[in-house]
Amino acid sequence: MSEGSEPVLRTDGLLKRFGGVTAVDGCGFEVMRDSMTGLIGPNGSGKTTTFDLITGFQRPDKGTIYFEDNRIDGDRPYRIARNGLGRTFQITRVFPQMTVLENLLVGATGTELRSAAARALHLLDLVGLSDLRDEFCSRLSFGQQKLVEMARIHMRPQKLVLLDEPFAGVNPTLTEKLVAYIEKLRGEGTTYLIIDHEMKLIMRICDRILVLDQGKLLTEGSPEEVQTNSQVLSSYFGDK
Amino acid sequence: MTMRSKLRLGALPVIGVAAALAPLFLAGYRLVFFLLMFLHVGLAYSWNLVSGFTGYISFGHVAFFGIGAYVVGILSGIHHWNWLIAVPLAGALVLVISLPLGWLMLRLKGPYFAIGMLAVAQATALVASLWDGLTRGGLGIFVSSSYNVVGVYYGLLIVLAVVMGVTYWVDNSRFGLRLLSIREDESAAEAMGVDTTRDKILAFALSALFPGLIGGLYAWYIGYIDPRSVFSLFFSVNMILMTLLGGAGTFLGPLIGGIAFTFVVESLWVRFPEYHLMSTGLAVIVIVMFIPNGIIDVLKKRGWLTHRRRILTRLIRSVETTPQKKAEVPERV
Amino acid sequence: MGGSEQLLQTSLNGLLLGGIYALVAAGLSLIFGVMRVINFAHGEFLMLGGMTTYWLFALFGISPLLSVIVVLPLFLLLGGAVQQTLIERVTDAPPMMALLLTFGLSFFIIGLSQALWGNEFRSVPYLGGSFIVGSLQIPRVRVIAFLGAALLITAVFFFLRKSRHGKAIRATAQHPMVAMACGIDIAKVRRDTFAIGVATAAFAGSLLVMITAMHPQAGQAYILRAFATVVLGGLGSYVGALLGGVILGLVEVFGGFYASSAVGQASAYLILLVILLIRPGGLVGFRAGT
Repeated sequence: MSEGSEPVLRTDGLLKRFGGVTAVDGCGFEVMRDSMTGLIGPNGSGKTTTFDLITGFQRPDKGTIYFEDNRIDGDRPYRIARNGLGRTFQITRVFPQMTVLENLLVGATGTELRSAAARALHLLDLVGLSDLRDEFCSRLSFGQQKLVEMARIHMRPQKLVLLDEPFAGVNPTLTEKLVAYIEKLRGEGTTYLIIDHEMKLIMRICDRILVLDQGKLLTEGSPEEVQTNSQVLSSYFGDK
Repeated sequence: MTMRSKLRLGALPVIGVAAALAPLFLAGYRLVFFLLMFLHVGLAYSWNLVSGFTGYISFGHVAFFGIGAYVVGILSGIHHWNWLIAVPLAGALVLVISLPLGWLMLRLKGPYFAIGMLAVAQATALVASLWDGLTRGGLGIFVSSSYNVVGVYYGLLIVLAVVMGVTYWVDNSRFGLRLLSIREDESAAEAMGVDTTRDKILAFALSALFPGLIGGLYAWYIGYIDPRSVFSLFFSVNMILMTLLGGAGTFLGPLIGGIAFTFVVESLWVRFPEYHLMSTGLAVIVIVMFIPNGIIDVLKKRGWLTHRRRILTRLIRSVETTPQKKAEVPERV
Repeated sequence: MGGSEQLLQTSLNGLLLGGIYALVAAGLSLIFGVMRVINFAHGEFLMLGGMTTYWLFALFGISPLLSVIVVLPLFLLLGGAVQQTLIERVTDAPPMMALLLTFGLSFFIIGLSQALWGNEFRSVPYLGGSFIVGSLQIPRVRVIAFLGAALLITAVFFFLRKSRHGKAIRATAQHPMVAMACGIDIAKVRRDTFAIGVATAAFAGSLLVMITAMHPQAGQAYILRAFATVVLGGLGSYVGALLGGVILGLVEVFGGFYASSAVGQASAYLILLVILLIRPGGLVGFRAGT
């Protein structure tokens, strides 16, 4: 783990019920600053709901969420986003009837316009979409839309970015491109929390892994520790 | 491309000056024709501000028009206030009403909002007919006996110029981009840091203000109002038709749609009124099926109009001419 | 007539009216459940059904109860044709396009009816008189109309529950992709659902023309009523629509009787607005994940 070792995000006793289903059940964990943390767990273990709770799209029934020193549970999503906590969604969600550049500028809402434009052109250069900046996103390929989304989330100086299955359905070439892109932006001081089912990849790129099962934190540790943990093996591979 | 679009938009102030001088040369029906055109185009622009940019389709915008008409009807028709005072008050009242109303209604999505707004319009019309102590109910109000075409003409021209200016600003501002992002995917916009609630309500209030003013001017122009006429659902339908025809969520769309609509109304439907409604409905169907993004979109696809906003052209130029700043990290404000 | 009898009489009137509202709303709700489209022209199909019954009566002397035999298949065909030629083509467009399409369709039908038949009010005088039960007076025609509505509601209900095709419709409503994967032709399901919805609206119009006058703009009052009803009962829920219909019928009749007829008419808007404003998030809210 990196130096510093102070948490950028801290959740405690998170609980969320939908009708009779308890999606998140007393979940508490910390995400260390400057880390690349993986959030893994079987389907239905509450990963996406946890993201929704952290980013304000769902209100927890119980529990607290601290982002840096501010308590953010129950805040509106846009406020959380403006504080430098960004997220992507499981399904790529670009604004289809807006151009690539316009998509990026919306991502910088609340920052100064001219430097936002400069940032946008820089990021488009970085992901290789400069030639498509005036193209409507609806006309882009799936992979290009992924890149737009990834560039858009980095339009503001992010302290923490939550990526929800960024590599799902992505071919190996694009995966490497996305990984290289994330690694590069990590240098700007952004922490990542990533949900994905690509175990090999997660174990390779993350320095810390949180394992959720049935809405609870099952265990956490370095990739090596987690991979040899018998509980993880049984919850993940045992009954599957 | 930029040259050409510059020419086109540069022509607008010239047309504006010509319109301002028109009453010196035109009279009678010819002037009324343009007066009606301003009325239609202004209403289309108003609807476009909320429904075109944010995608919250309102079926009940006539409510604001009707309230505006009634404010002028009551103040000028019953209490003999000067219409120059009554009309701005109509706008102000509608603006005041629209903020809490927008806050309430914009929590609804998609068809709920559309039909909810229809219910608002119907309920408002009902209030106008029931509250006869204030509105004289179904009897209606004689607003004015003087037929002040030139005054109303200038009033509508000013309102139109302002609503067009506002729309141009919206179309070339980050506020406009935020509204479009709400139309495209509201929760993704929120995740990007867009205060969707505030932006929607602001767009709604702007979109309500102008029909309020136009309704007030209309009452003064037409001379007699009753709940059936000024709360007629057809005003709502026409706003929708004109905007869709030209292109919703664009700057030039309502202008093109409104002008085309006025020509058709005044040349054909006036002669065959029995087919007015049928052809309006048919036109909406045809537009939705064949040119859902309007005439503007067709022009853009053919390359006759650029789809890059002028603000972006300017921005890119300004960034690219100072390459040393290219990689700077944005600062928060 | 005493107070309690008056109450009973009013409740009965509301119930009888509510049965027909329930039928109208059930069709709207069914269409929404399967296609995620609010059929804004629903009231106009109701009006057309009423007009058809009127003209069959006026021109050929066909009894309204018999004209049902014509109205149902006719509007099944019409509904299927409208869905195929218009609505199916915007299936993949943004969802508001379908609403705008039916919005245009509604005005087209009103305009067409005006051009064809003028703006006169038309009704079929049929089955005068009332059943007298104790001190209660129950107009016979309203009882017949209620029974007709109840019959069709029941028929559609059992069709959806028991028949193979009905099950396909319900499967599509619950999960179109899964339904498709199970070999259900969901395009056909959409067509038939719309056809059934339109036919129920037209049938309700046939019943209503016996009670109240029809004119080209009569349908407009019913789309808001139907929408209020489905919002009361939960959009997309067939049984909810029945309950909502009865509630709306009762509120209208009571409001009309104890306050004023305008309040009765307004109750649909008021119910609609109140429910929407109380529970906007419960109906549609942020959907972040999935």
